[in-house]
Amino acid sequence: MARFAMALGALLLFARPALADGGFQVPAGAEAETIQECGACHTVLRPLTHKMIEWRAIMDDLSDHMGEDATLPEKTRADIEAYLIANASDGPNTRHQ
Amino acid sequence: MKLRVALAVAFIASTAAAASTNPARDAILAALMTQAKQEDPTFTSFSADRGAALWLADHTGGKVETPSCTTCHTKDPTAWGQTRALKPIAPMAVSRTPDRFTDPAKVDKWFVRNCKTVLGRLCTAVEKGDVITYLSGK
Repeated sequence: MARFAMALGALLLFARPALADGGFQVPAGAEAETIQECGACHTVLRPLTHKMIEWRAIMDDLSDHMGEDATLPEKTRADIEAYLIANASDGPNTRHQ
Repeated sequence: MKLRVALAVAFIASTAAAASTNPARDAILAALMTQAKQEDPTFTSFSADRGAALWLADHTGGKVETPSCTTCHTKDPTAWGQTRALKPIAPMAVSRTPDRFTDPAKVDKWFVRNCKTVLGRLCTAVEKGDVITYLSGK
């Protein structure tokens, strides 16, 4: 029973941020970071142009980004990835719209 | 007329002063100087001439598409450059882009990235200080 309660608690803990406002919560400022960091070198693609799995692959391999080392500080990288995935063509913030 | 000339002179003087005495840029250069002296205790001062030579030279070791800083930034530091993906880059000359070299995180990020791309290695503190000194005088 206690184990069940803990599991439920953990589930609520992790589920809550993801369900805020009926969508996947993206860190504040992530969109601005995306525009600034990606836009420094190339045209900023809208999140809708890729699927979640594609954005994840791109953001997991920034050290070889179109042949360029585009490594970012981890927090910036994670914020941008969250924004892109949340709003991807098959992302949680897109699907039900 | 006299007033207009006086204002123009004052404006030029103030921008020149701003270019050479920005406290944030001075702090970045001071930190690089500390590192440079750790690398070589006899090191005394950064050189705009050495910075220009590094900036304008063709290098090997990096990506073949980008042998020089000038591949993207052009040979004129007061001109706009362009990334390989065609995004404009504001002039590197401090006279044209006064906030150049005033944000330590931005300076670090771009020296790491671009030294790897052009030279295939990280730049030394001396190289970074020389380049900043060169572009601060442009």
